[in-house]
Amino acid sequence: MAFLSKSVFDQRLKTIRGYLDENDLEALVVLTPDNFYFVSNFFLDVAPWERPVAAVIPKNAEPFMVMNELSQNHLRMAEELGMLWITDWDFYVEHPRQANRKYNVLQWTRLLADRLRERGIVRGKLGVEGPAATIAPVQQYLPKLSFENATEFLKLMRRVKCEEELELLRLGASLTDWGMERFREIAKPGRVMAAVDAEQNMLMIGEAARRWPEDRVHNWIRSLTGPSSAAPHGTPGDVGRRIEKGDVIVNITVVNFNGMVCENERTFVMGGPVSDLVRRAFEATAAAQWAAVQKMVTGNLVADCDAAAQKVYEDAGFGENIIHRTGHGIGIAGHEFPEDMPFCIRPFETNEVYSAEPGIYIYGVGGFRHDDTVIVKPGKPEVVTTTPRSLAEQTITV
Amino acid sequence: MFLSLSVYEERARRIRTYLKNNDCRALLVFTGDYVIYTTGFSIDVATWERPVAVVLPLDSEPFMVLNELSTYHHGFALERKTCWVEDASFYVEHPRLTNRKYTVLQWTDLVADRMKAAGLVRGRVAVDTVGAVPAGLRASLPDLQFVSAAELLRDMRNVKCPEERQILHMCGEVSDYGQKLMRERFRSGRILTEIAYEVTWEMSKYALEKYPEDKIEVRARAFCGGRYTASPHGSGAHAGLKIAEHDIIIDFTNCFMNDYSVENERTFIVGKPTDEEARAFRTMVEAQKRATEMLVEGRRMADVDGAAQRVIEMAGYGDYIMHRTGHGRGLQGHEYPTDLAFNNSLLVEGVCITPEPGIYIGHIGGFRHSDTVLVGKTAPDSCTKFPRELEDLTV
Repeated sequence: MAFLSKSVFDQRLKTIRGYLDENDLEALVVLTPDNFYFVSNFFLDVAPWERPVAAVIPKNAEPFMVMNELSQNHLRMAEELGMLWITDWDFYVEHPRQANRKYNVLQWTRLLADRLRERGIVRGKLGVEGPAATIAPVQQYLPKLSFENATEFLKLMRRVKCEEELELLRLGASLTDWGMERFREIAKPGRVMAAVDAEQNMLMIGEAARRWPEDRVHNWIRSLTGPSSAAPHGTPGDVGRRIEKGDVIVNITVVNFNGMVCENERTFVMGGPVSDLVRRAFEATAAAQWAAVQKMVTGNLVADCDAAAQKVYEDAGFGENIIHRTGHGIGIAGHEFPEDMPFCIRPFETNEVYSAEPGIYIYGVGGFRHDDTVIVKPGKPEVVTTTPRSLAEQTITV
Repeated sequence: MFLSLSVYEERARRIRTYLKNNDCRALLVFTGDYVIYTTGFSIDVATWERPVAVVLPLDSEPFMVLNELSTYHHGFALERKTCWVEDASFYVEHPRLTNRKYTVLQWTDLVADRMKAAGLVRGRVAVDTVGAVPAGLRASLPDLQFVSAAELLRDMRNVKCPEERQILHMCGEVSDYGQKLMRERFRSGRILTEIAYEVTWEMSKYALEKYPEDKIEVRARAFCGGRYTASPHGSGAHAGLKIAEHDIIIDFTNCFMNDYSVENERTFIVGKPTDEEARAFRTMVEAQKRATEMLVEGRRMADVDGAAQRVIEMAGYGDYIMHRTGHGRGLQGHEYPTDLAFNNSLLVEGVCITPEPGIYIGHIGGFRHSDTVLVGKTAPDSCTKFPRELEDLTV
């Protein structure tokens, strides 16, 4: 099993308490799923907009959580697996019990307030990650408490990944590469594109079950073929589109391995020879993407990575066909900060993780995009996804 | 099947009546679901990183501000006649060398400039989520007052129109087909996730043949074992879990068509159930039946929850309830009402609810069916129809 170890928690706890000390805060309160996982190692099984939860890390007391009744057995299982970092939790119910009454969902902020009071947290400031309005009613019960926004702190804290997270990422990446090879075998002219995706997904989950029977693996596969691929995230319909000979295909393979997300995307061509336009667009894409990857080195400006890819495209005459940024941060949430790569004027830091995925889109022809997941390192980036990138390798023989 | 553009016209008519009665000059929409709801544009970005806006003025044409990534997605939608708002302006998220445009850093300037051109500079405008109004827009249009239209939109969305109901029925039929495939494959010794992804693949093929012109995603998942089914949303781990003899399995087969979706969940037992399992199973089926019967116009929502709970309490399983009896369903997934157990409003025809009371016994397992049901005038109208009795679901 490859879940993050308790030492990761100890390290995070130390950083969080340092922040609380420096900012004169009594506790950190975390309200949204990704950060909830980040501080507790618990994969939240509810959506907080309808079933609110809180993970609380006090400056001077043990961390605790306030949960919805739905999660109680899930929490016990996570504890038995040894992956739950915060084992002191209580829950509210979302239906009115006949016996053994408990705080219900209408009173959940009162439960939170009572748990804070028990720990002597009744005055001063709380740092709140997420929508503070959710827990504003706590002030009715603890009027001397005030809130401060701590969202930015967690955003910064998640930026640089630890070694254990990177190891999860590498394992997930190896499955994406394996999946791409299966795609190459099963994609054929005449087949319905979306059915090929579902088959790739099935093959990958079988492989994951064999490799890592005790772990948590989710895949997301989506391919776009022919003119539809000109819309980077797909068309509004047309799910029955079949692959045609000569199509340009963009395959998106995403794996979430025990909480770390890895993206791997490739452009394929269904049979050669290709038109001059397709060849030029493909080659410009492969060159632009590699130029972006090479910039992902400690100390380079983040925005320069976007510029490097754009320059290749502009020089090749495809500047008008760029319709999105070159990449974004990756981690627990999939897409993460920084989300503004072209405008992000600060240096890359070692062990940040990014997608490198410049693309061009030609209406009537299709899209051209490769995407690798890259760990920033000094001197030379570590590219965790290794599926081939050249036109020769990416042309499927028919 | 996509909603006809006339559905969006009708929605706009209702919104404009509200605007008029509430002295508002336009509706502004910033959140993904309501972009789909008001325009039919099947949003292809996440708004936290790629913000969008829809402006529906009281007495002029609507327009949208979108990210450049959506350029062709919007174009395809117009060709397909699945997007009601034709007039879209795009900001870029990379700095162009030629044909400069507003960048993502200036996206609120683009919204403000378009609003100024439409004469929307002072007075009241309604917003889907007041908290989502960007500070930059407030700064550019200091004489506008933003007021919430959240309740109007929520109420409108709660009641499904005939075309929406038809889509939900189509989704239900595909999900029932998936349940049949699941049942055929549940055998001890097989890896459960492999079955689920195999069925996803088979369901895809079925749906794609049947509805090739639509946007469809299907998803079949399951968890098994006494231990894991006792957690309503699974254990979260164990990719390689195998089905064992006497296991309880809870599965779900969802179908998303053009952003609408149903849920369809069933409990199965592998091999002969014990007396205790059979009793818990039958109690759950009875509770679900009682809850479903209550989904009729004029009934109180909380009483739907009460009806299921009563059956479970009477059978002595009250301590094993771990969630409400259901929630609203429609665009994207879970919807309002989320507080079924405490909601004192009355049901009206066309509201979509999932009756899904559950019993979770730590040492035995979990028992839950879920259906997607439209509230009817005199009888509930279930979009999912897969058999529910123990005899049907013992494999």
